[in-house]
Amino acid sequence: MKTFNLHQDRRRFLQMMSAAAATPFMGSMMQAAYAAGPYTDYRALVCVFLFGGNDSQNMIIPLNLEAGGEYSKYVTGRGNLAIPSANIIPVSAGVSGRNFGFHPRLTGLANIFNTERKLACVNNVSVLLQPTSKAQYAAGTNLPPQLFSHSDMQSHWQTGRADAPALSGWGGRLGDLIEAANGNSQVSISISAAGQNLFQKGNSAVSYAVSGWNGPKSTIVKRVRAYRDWDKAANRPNPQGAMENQFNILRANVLEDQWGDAASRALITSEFVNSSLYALDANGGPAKDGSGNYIEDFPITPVPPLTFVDSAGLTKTNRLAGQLRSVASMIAARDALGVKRQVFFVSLGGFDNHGDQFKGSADATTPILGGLHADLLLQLDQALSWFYGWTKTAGVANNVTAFTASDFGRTLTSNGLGSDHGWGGHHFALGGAVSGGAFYGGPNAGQEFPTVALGSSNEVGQGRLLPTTSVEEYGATFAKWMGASASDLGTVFPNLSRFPRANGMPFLT
Amino acid sequence: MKRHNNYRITRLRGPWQSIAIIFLSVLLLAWPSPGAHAQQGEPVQLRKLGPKYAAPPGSISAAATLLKVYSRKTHGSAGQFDLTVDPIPAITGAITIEPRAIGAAHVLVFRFSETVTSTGTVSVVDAGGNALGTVSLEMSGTDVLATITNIPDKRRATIVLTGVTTASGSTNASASIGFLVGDFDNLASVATLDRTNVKSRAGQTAVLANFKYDVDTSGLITAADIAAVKARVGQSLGTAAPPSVSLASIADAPMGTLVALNATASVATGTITRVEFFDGSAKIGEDTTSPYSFSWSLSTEGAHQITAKVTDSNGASALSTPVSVTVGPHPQADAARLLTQATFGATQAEITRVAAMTPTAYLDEQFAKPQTLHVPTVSADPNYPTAPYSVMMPSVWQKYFESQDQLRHRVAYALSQIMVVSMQNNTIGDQACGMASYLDLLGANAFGNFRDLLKGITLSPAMGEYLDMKGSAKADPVLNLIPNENYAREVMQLFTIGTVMLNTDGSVQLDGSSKPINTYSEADAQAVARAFTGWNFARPAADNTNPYRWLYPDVPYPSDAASAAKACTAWSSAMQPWTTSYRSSDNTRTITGGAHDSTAKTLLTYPGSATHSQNVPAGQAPDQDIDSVVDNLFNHPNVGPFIGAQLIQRLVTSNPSPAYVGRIAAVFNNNGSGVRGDMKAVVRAILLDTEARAPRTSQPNSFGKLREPVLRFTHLHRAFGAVMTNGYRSIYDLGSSDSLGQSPLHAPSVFNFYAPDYTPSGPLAQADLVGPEFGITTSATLSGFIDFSKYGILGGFNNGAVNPGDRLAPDYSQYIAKAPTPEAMVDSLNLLLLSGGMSLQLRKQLVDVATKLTDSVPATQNLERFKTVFWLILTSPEYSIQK
Repeated sequence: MKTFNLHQDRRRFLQMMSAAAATPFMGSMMQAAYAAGPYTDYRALVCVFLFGGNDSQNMIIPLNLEAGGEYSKYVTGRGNLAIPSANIIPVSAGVSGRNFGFHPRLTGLANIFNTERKLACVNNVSVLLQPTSKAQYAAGTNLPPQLFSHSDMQSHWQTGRADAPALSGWGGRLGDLIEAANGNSQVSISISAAGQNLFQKGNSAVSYAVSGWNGPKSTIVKRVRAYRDWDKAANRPNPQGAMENQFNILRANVLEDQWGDAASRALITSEFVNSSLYALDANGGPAKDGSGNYIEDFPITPVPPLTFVDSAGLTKTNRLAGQLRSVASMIAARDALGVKRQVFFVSLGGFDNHGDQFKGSADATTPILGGLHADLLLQLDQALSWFYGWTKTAGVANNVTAFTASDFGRTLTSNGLGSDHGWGGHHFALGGAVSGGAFYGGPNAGQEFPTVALGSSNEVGQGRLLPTTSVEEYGATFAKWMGASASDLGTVFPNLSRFPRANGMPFLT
Repeated sequence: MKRHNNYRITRLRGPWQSIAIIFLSVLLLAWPSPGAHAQQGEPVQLRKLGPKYAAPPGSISAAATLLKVYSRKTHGSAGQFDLTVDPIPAITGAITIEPRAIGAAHVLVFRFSETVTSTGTVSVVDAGGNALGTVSLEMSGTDVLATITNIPDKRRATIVLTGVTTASGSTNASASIGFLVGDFDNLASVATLDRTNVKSRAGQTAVLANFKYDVDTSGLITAADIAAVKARVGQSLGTAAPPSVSLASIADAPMGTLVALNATASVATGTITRVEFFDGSAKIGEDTTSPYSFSWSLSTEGAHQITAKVTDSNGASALSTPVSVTVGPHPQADAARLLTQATFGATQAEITRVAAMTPTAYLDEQFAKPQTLHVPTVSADPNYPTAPYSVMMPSVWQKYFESQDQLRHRVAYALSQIMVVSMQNNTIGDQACGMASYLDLLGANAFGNFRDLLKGITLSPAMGEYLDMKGSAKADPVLNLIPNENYAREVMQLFTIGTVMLNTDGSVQLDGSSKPINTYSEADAQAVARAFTGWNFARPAADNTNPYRWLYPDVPYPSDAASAAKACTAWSSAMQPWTTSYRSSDNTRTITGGAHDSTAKTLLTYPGSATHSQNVPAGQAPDQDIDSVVDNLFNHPNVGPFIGAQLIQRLVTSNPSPAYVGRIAAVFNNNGSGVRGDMKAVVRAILLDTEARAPRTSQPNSFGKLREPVLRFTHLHRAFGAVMTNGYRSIYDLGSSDSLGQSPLHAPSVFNFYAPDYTPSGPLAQADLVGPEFGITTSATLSGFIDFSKYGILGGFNNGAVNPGDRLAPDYSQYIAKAPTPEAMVDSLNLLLLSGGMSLQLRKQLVDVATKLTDSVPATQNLERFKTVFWLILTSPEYSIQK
């Protein structure tokens, strides 16, 4: 079914490398491959993926309140999804003649934007194959495949290349290029606290999964406890060697081989990461203190907001905060892990709010002030605000940049209970190195933020935004900051040169 | 790049090299260090992870390495000299020969990589396995010194150390050496050349270059040495001509057949001690009396090389010419495989029963089984009125574990992963009758017609809740509201046709510029969304005249028997159209004319669509519009390959050939009687296809599917008759990576647990293959499953519960009873768990592991053997992939 067959070529290349690894020729080739490094400083990139398509039309809102102004057009377009202006948190975006605000739940991020100016808004970003005009959209000229499908748009965002099969992600390709910076560390440059993902899938970089932190009585590394427990008292041979031998045997059946490969890596890496993060007990497992809390080599303070109070007053778990706490642990342990560069993946799901955007809202008068989407933004706000605060405490604020990504933005128009799939969406870049407190949008003057109104030149029906910034331009900004050279950027984003800002955007330099 | 260079380095050995390493030579039996066992089976290649993946010191215990073995003697005042004992294959007779006189005591030095803290135990045997001499052990730094007395000349000896302890743990080691005074050139016989060689050194003091010629170890090479060698010219190790043995040919037969291995052995002098039989490198039996024979049960499917080995009373041995035998599939293998594909797990009773039927007859039997339903179970559950969220999963597990209509539930489970409604949605999770009714619908149509299935899920209140079609009204220009597009989009993308035009074999159609062709546009999604407007819960007719009931249906959250019954009726009935006035979504106005958008719509255009509701006229009733969309989608040429390929993936293999998909799509398009969408015919064709039924040795390397956690859980318990008599109330959410990592009906989104085209990095990506279930396989879930398999499966799930009714307790007794003969235990588990597909190397490893497990209490030994072997099977790559 797939028309491209890069794998075959890669396998041949690997065979060749394997056969000739020791020759001077290969040595020089490896040198070339490592041209991006080594790096003396430490840097980490954190992708925060908002699964389902965040309704960013309610995350960053135009706030020119005069009659017929931008806010009134927003209200007209949104219908029952419009946030009352009095509830919107004004932000000082510095865009001439235009005022904006954040969703009322984003108090922490608004403060970082307004006061610390370490949060940037990168507006109207999405998947493009080329800079696209409204006329080109109407004519169907070179549009990304399956524009409004969740799975395809998630894939396009993560591959950074919508016109090719989804074989690898841009985080993974970036990892391939710069992982040499980490020397022989036994842990991958790519760490996921949110399971398998295409973003981190590289040719050589294989993502390592940690668990979200659930409190001091949980560890973030899943290692095999059963080995240690295996009939200790009876002094019988532990089957560990036999089990791992089965993982290690190369197999003709490719699925069996995949399982063995994955299990082998998982076991070895987990032992290494475990020993890098925790004090060890007599069995080599993570040690606990007298209270039953695991003893971390690199304690993380303050404690993250693992729970939040939803708009109905119920206390619920903020899984994103737990994931970012795990990211913090892996950053704090960077020297023990022996890494100079790390690419993280965390996620928050539930944003596909067709029929439940304000479900559960306790606000009878203005339901949209509460409910599911407001609760999701609250979790995002609390988790990211905590995480940025921790990077400051830990002295790594300038070394860590987090950014949001999502399937797509949503329609401005309501279906009564929510919004439907859109295209362009607004995003956050957060970190000490970010030139924040400002809006970044399309390449031309006046494109800091789209005109939010039905029938505007920015919309392609029902208020779906026509993107002015490509995933490539947005992503290249982060890849460059991580140390990718100009030619590396072309490898990470093969279509980058089609866009005006092929050398990245100014929000992070 | 660098990692890949080290990613895996293959070491391929020939079979005889491999055997040599095992039997003879200096052999490190580093149990339990990884890798040692690979040397004991058929030739295998080992995965070698690069330096980044080398085991970190001290974190995984790795035993000390045996560095060298020396034969040590003191040569008078000339000092002490060590002869290096080489790792030479003894099976051919060529081992290191010690040419110096043995004397009262002889020292063999074993040098390890770490300081030795305990010597363990030792034995010395000749080539026939007979004990030789006496031996004592001492340790010195990294050395273990074995002092042997009373070894006769012209004999070979194997010294076996067991339980040598170093800081890293315990290890075993052995070395073989021959004793033949005067054999300096290691030819196992003393020749004139040996005499010449010692003669030429007469008068020299023993030094490193010549010490071995000082055969009497006096420190000086003298006439006495020359005389000693001269007297032995013509003698050889073992003194006599080697014995010989031949093995009669063996007829090919199915796995499990008992065959007689008949050897004919002869010896020049002395007597025959025994004849042993080997399958590859694995010893399968021996006989000590003539006629030499052994009754062997053909062990694993595929080609085998059988060898006989004779040993005589002189300690000499010889091998027969190998005899090849091809072992066919176990007679019950296909029944086991069919049950693995068609049920929630094979049991031995079912394997035996189904093996006596044709696959067709078994499927017909399953098709005829009455459907066991969820709604009656759930609604009758005493917990339903008070804890409605708790009653769905017990019903699911009960059906999966115990129901007779296994195939129906297995297909319904597959459909639940294509047309996803997830209990992770709180409303769905809380309204058990909604989910129960939805599963019953999938089950009812699993053997029905896809068209009915499509219409059924479209009008299901659970789906209506999950994807927002329930309550979606026509556009409201006053509030600027449009119909909800969620279900309209996913019913096309996920439940029927996918996003791009397919050929019948599932391959993607390309346009003139080699790009895929979209199946639908945004305008199509909006048209379908409009056609789907105006539906809500079934209700009493009186509610239709109350416009508020559109916004606020009278469907309670169960809190007592009455509300529970009312909720169950609403959630288990198909949705109804709303054709009367209704309140606007902000509850400020009454809108007349019903909630359905009855304007004209243009649906999907495809070859033949003109006769399949491509143009929907204005004025149709809501149910007519539903029928139009169902007609339009059902007849789309993509449905057969799109749904067929996914059902194949859920039941049989992740990477079906295009021809396989094409055959299934053809059956979907026409069941042979002109009927389109006959699900029974589709299921039958999938399970009877040559690709599904091909024996193991004919399967391509891409065949099979990763067993998803849910199916492992059901299979491993069903195989041993486990049921939970409390009605499966003790199984909660198994989705955590600390647990199973997956719960049925709990997908994170409508995109299921994994995508049908998911490919992880690694071997699958390199081979351009997919492995959907690897989408939930991470370093965390892998480690988690290995633990869960021990704590949650091995002893039975929840086996710590006080009340036996709360346990999912498997009965392993008949397998534990076989543990005294590990081969028999492993072979029976091979059929039950691996459909008879176990490799020879895995079988040998399991037998070796079990054999090593000993305990003075027989019951304990048997139990430990079973538990260890079972755990190794259920974590093994061979079990992990259903084939």
